Amino acid sequence: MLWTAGLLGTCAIIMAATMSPSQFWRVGSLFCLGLIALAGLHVLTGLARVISLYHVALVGVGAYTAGALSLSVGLCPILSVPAGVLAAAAISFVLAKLAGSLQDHYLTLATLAASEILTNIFRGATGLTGGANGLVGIPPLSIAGLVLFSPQDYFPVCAAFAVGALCVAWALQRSFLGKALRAAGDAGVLVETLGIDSIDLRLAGFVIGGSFAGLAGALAAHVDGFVGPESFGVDRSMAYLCFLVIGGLGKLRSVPVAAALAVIAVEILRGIVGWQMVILACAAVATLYLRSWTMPPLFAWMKRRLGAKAGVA
Amino acid sequence: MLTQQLANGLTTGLIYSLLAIGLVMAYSTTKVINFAHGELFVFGAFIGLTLQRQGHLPFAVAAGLAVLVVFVFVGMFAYLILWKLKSSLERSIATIALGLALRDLMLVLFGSDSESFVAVYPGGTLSLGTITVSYATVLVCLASLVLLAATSLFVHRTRYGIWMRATAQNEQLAAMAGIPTHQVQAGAFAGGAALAALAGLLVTPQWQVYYGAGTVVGLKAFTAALIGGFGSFRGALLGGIVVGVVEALLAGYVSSTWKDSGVYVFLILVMLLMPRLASVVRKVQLAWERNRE
Amino acid sequence: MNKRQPILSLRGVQVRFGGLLALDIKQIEMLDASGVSAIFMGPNGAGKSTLYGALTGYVPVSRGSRITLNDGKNRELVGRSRAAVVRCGIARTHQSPVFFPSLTVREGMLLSTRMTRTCTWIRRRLSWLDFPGRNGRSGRLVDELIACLELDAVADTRMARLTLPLLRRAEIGRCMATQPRVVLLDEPSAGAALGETAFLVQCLGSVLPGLVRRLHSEGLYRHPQVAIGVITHDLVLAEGLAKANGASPVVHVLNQGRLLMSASLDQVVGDARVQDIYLARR
Repeated sequence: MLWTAGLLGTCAIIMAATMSPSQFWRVGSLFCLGLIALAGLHVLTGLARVISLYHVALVGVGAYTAGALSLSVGLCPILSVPAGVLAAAAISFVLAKLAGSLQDHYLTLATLAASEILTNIFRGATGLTGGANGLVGIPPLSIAGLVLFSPQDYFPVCAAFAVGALCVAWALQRSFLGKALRAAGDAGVLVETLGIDSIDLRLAGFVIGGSFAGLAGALAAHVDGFVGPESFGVDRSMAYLCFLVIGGLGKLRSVPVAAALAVIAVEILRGIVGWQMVILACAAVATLYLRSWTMPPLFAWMKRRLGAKAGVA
Repeated sequence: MLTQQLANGLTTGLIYSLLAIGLVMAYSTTKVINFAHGELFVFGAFIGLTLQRQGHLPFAVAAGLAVLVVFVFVGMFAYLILWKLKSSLERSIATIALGLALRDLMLVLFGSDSESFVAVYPGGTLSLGTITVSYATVLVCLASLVLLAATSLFVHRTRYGIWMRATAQNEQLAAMAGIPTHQVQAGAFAGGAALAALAGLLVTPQWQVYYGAGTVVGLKAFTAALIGGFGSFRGALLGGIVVGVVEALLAGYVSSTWKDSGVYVFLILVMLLMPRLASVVRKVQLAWERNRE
Repeated sequence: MNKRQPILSLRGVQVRFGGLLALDIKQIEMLDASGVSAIFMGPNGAGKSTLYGALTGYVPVSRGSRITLNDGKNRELVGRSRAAVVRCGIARTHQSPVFFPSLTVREGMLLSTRMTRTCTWIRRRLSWLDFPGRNGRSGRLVDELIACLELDAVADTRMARLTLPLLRRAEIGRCMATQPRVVLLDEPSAGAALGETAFLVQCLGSVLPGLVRRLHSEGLYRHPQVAIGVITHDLVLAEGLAKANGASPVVHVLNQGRLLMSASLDQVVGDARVQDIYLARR
């Protein structure tokens, strides 16, 4: 974790030096929101090893719910954000109930189907979601009458939620539920020997992961003021997966690393390099590949050379 | 009206069957679901397109080259990378990453517009009773059927096909029998990808594809494979036709915007009901056999 | 000692795989005792592991089967999920040990001890949030079990790295950590050297049952005693267990899915029919 913190700290310093203040706070807020969503994906895919391809669609569910409620009914953010969380959690619950008993591959297919269905709903249900144009003019976050409009203002809120999400994920990992999820991810149905139904565990994993996603989406709706259907597709979920893999699937440090990658890839490099996703996807495969080697031949050769020198000398 | 819908559904269904067979071939031999299957469908089409436009090659040559490129590329990916990764979780993530890389590669290289080939198929339509089909559609159907038959023959009659089936049934035993399972699996994986590319090349002269079509097509291919039981050729053929017909019926009678979602809901239903359906089918079979004794 | 009551009884249990009747038991009873109370023998394919599967929910049984656990309340086990059967207090090992590869022996056992005596619904739900550490009651239970099974040297090694006999012992430990009322062992000494078999005789025959009784009196184990059932082909193990500390286990011989006889070990070994089926004379 120390290395990760150092790396991220260095990035933050570089950004602070090169960006305007409002840009810096905005990127920081996006980092925090991404962190919340990725913490949820970590619980489901990192711990329980269920490849979930509809995570970003759930973020969209949270965003659309919060946005729609605050636009149509005039719900204040204190209420619309929890509503977004509940909506995402409810959809995760339904999917987990329906598809939780399927084998791994088929469950992933079910999440893929769910993501596409949700994206179609975002684009198609023009009455609720504003169709292809999305929802515009969502009121910003406000606490006790204080309107948080500019990035400097809403960054602390995002940061607080992000820190909270990380703490919850950390505590979860250490708790019995977290260990059971990890055991289920490692050995599948074997958790039944512990007296725990693996389907219940999956349900818990799905709902917890989904809640995090909903929270990130609901906050993002208020922070951006706008929700559109283009940013919640399957490709984003796949990208999130790749980011988590690059950070080290299963370890908590993958969450901030993945959030940093998400921000860099999507926001910072957007205009500059068109190839960022290709590179990142290759990086994900490379991470998997290298971890599968027990020791790269180069290192082995070097060790032999050094050992021979030491022996002779 | 109904028969027209059914005819449309049959055409698209045969394309889905082609895709499903590629998927089933790859999966049964390697036990890895190629999540990039849909993207390979589009990728093959785009390569053929580039070769035809920039290289000024005739369509058949461009198509052949495109299939070859996809075959070699995916074969190497499978041989070098997929088999270094030990767990099926990692392999699935690798195919997902592949799909993502291809998708964005196509976005970068070709932009977000829809593309189609310079007119290749003869124009004009044909009337069979109440149904009107274009010549192009008929050609696509015939080509799909020919390819399906060819693949089936390859898998059932040639030595390599028998190797593939042996590896699919029992990998360890096949290896002990001297079959080079590693290469056979890479070849099967690549073969499935090549079939996807072929399907893409068949389709683009008539219909347009854009870089994001891979996800949609891939999911429908999975549905088709699933209905067919992820095992046999006949199943994949049947599954593809079912998906095509369901989609056409949904488009005709429900709504065009929701037809895709309808197919996905159908997928989830199939996944949930499959075990029960399978056991019902087995019970019927057993009862029938008992009656015959 | 009071007259021994059956702790597990099976009546009319049938298991079909397709058209094949793999198990057809009119009645088997496993008597309640502290220690080994039942030994299941029979040639390969006789249905012994299928019997365990039927008992623990791994294998579906035909309608009309009745499997009851009689520990105070008569609990019907048919139709319960595997996890529910474990919660009722029946644990089993497998012929090829199943384990969580990336956990150490101690962690695996700690994970299993969640079957504590938390009785209220709320406490059981809240217990999801904390993890039994090495100190505290679960930790002490685990320590005692590790000492009893002589796994101290490998307690903090990942299970994927253990050799087979140690893995079998770790699996027994993991089962015992769920504090079962009945433990069913499937060929615990298969492939073991004689020293290991002797250790198993000592452990299963006297040390483990005594440990459970002592832990119960200290409040660390939720049942007063544990009844052990063993599937084995190993006559050395069977004889050792039959002679162990006061227990006189009943040997049930299965053949082709049916119960051939239930008697003491000497009677079974001397019986001509049993010799026939083992030596395939028929």
